[in-house]
Formats: sequence, C-alpha cells, structure tokens
Amino acid sequence: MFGYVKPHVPELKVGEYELFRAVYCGLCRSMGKHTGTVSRFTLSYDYVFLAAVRMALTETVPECKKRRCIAHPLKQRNMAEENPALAYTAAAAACMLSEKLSDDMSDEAGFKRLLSSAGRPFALGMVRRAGSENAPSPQQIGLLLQKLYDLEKAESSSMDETAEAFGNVLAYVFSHGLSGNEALIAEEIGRAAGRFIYICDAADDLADDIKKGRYNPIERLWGEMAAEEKDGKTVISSLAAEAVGTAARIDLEKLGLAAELLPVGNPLVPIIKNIVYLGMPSAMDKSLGKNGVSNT
Amino acid sequence: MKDPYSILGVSRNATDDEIKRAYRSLAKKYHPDNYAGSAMAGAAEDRMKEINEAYDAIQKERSGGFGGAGASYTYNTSGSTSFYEVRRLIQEGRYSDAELIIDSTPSNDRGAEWNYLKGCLLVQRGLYYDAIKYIEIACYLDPANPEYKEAKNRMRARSQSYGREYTTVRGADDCDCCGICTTLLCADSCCECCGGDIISCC
Repeated sequence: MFGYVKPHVPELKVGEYELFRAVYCGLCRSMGKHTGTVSRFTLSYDYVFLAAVRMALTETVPECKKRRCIAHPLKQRNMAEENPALAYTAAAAACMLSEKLSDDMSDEAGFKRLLSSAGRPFALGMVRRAGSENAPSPQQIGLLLQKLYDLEKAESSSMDETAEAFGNVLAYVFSHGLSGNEALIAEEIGRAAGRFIYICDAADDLADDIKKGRYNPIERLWGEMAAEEKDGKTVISSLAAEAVGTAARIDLEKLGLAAELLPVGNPLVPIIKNIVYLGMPSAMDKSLGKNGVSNT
Repeated sequence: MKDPYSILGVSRNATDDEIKRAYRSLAKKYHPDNYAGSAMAGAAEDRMKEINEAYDAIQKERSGGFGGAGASYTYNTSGSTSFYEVRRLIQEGRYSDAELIIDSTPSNDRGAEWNYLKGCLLVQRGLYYDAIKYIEIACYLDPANPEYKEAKNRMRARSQSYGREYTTVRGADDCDCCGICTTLLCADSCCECCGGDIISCC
C-alpha cells in the first residue's frame, strides 16, 4: 500500500509516539522473520495501522523491548515483541504485494513490467513462507482486486464505486480470522481506509494518469474540470480538490464511528483515533495539494 | 412548525457541532429535574419537547438532502421545477423511483437542477465523492440558486466538523507558540515595572 494512513505526529503524546514507533519496528522485525529480509523494504504506515487495529480488537497490549536492528545499528530502539497481530500483518502485506505485482505484470509495459516480473518470485516466496493457517488467502485478495480492475477497465465514472471495490479488499484483509463484533468493526475500518487510500492515490496520480492517458477515477468523474494548469504543470483543479476533500471528510465519518467502537483502555486506541481524525485528513490534503492541516 | 434553527438559536450555517452544543445547553437548561415540583414543570416540558423536535428535524434534514420533516420549512425554488415528479418521489422517500427518472433523462436536459437532484440522491445512498461533484456542477451552472448553494454549504459544514471534537477534547488549541511568546512578553513588562526582568534584552 502507499503510506497515507499515518498519525498526525504533533498531536500525539510522547508516549503514544514511542509506542507507534515500537509497533512500526516490531512489524518490520516480524516481516523479516516471517516473510524474509526483502519484504522489510515493503513496510508502509498503512500496515502499521492494520497491525494496531488488529491488536486493539484482540485486546493485545504490545510488549516492548529495546533492541538493535540492521537499519539502525547504533542505537537501541523500543520494539514491539512478536505477537499474532504482527505475524498476521506481515503475511497480509506479502499477499497484497504479490497480487499487486501479478496485476502489474499483465498491465504495465516496459521497465515497470520487468520490475514486477522480477519481484514476483520474491513475493511468492514471501507468501509461501508466511503460509500459516491464519494468513489471509491470496486467491481471495486477487479475486477482490480483479473486481476493481474490471471496473477500471470498464472506465467506471463513479469514484464511489471504484473506491468501494478497493475498500472491499481491505475489509477482507482487516477482518480475516476475526469473528463476531470484532470482525464487523474490522471490516468497516478496513473498507473505509481502503476507500480513502484509493482516493488519495487517485489524487496523487492524477497528473501522471492524464499525461499517459490512463484511467483515473477523479479525471473520469470530473472530466475537463478535474485538472488545471499551474506554473506550467498539470495539477488537480482547486474546485475538484476542495470537493474531494469535503467528500473525504464526510466519508471518514463512518471510519470515526467504527473507531469509537474499539475496546477502550488499549493504549493503541488513542493512536488509532489520532490517525483516523487527524492523520488521514491531513494526508488527503497533502495529496490534494493543500498545505497545512485544517481542523486543528 | 417554527424554524428549528431559530428554536435552537443558531444560524442556518451553523456547523453540526455548534448545533449539538446549542442543543445540549438548552436541554440542560430545561431538564425536567430543574423544574421538579415547580408550577412551571408543564411549560418546561413543552419547551423541551419543542427543542427535541427541532434538533431531530435538523438532524434529519442534514443527514439526507431534504427529509420529510425538513420539507415543511425548506424554501423551494420558485422558478421552474421541471423535475417536479422527482422532487415529489424524493419527499415520499421513493429514492429508487426518483433515480430511474433521473438516470433516464436525456443528456441535453441535464441542467443545474438535474445535477442537484442527482447529487441529493447520491447523498441519500452515502456516495459522497460522486454526490459532491453533481452538487458543485449545479452551483457552477446556476450560481445564484440558494437551494444548490445551501446543499453545498451543508456538505462543507459537515466535513469541517469531522475530527473537531477529537482535537478540542485534547485541548490542542490552548497552547500555541504565539500564546507562549505573548505571555512571556507580558510577564517581562510586568516584571520590569517592579524592577525585575525575565528577558534582559527588552
């Protein structure tokens, strides 16, 4: 994934920030253990969010220990110790990567195709190594992603429709293996996060997609009003940026409602709320070319 | 029914948050406990009912374009309503029927009002990314229309209230850099009056 789902750091308490970093490092370590050293380069904030949500829902309080790692050999860092949520997230990241690459292989041309072809065996290896019984199924992820790609190929003019299709992928990844209310909450959080990530990515790629004549949901819905020229560069139009930012915040209300249902008392919950209420809106603003954070 | 906004004492452009706050403070004021045993208990009860109804009506109106309760006081466009049938269906809550007419409208008849109604129907289904595009287009085609502008402002206000409660709870606004500096400067000049000094250079 892409790293749009991260906390708004100035609003975190110092202890919360420490814990977030510990989960980040713990996840990196867990990926190294379960899916190989190469997979550690694919770590992104979105997966830390997934791990945090899974831990909160299973009422797991991460246990932290000071350790060294390859990336930062000089200083010992607090790291969350291995737990089922971290192992699950490592496996989920590998599955997502391998399915993404298999699509790139069939779609992209030139260098990117070569790169994804070269990367695929690594990704498959990661999935194989992760292959524990509670990992999400790559086939199911592939199936759900295919629905999104079908909509994109059919040039769907509904941003909500395509975003929802990606949301369904993450709904599955977030909720797999949970049951009852926990599964429902995880599904809702995953779906809303997926929709959000999809729109952020669409906003980031808009100029590039227009140049290359590729499908972009914002361009398809807004047509000529999607982009404008600014200092000789193609950027998202201020009208579309304002509107998409507004819609995103209303759409995020559902995520807020789901986040409020997380078990109280878990130290990860305030971090998750920071991400949901502040981090995500400001990431969206950044993708839409707006500076600064509103609402704070 | 009286305008629910005036009952709560807020403006039409108030954010959801402001409305909630207004509602809470009024509800506290007229709470039956405050009037227990008083002769005014009945009057307070009536007032409380009125406030509850007003709050519900605003909630209903804001959550879905125009809802049944809102219909009695939202101003309708005086101009041409070529989509009279669609509006009627929406007010009756028959959204899929309304959608059928909207979606089968030939593309050269799709003016400002069509875009507005399409947007309202999408809001009803929770498809905000699409909805806002149609509402923006309606405003763009007919910038003077208060109904379209109202719908747009309502979405803006709703989006601005997202996450606001979260920051205020944590008291984020209390301590910004400017505040610290001004406080220090004030303290400095106060001290200088008495012969002391915090910041020696000024």
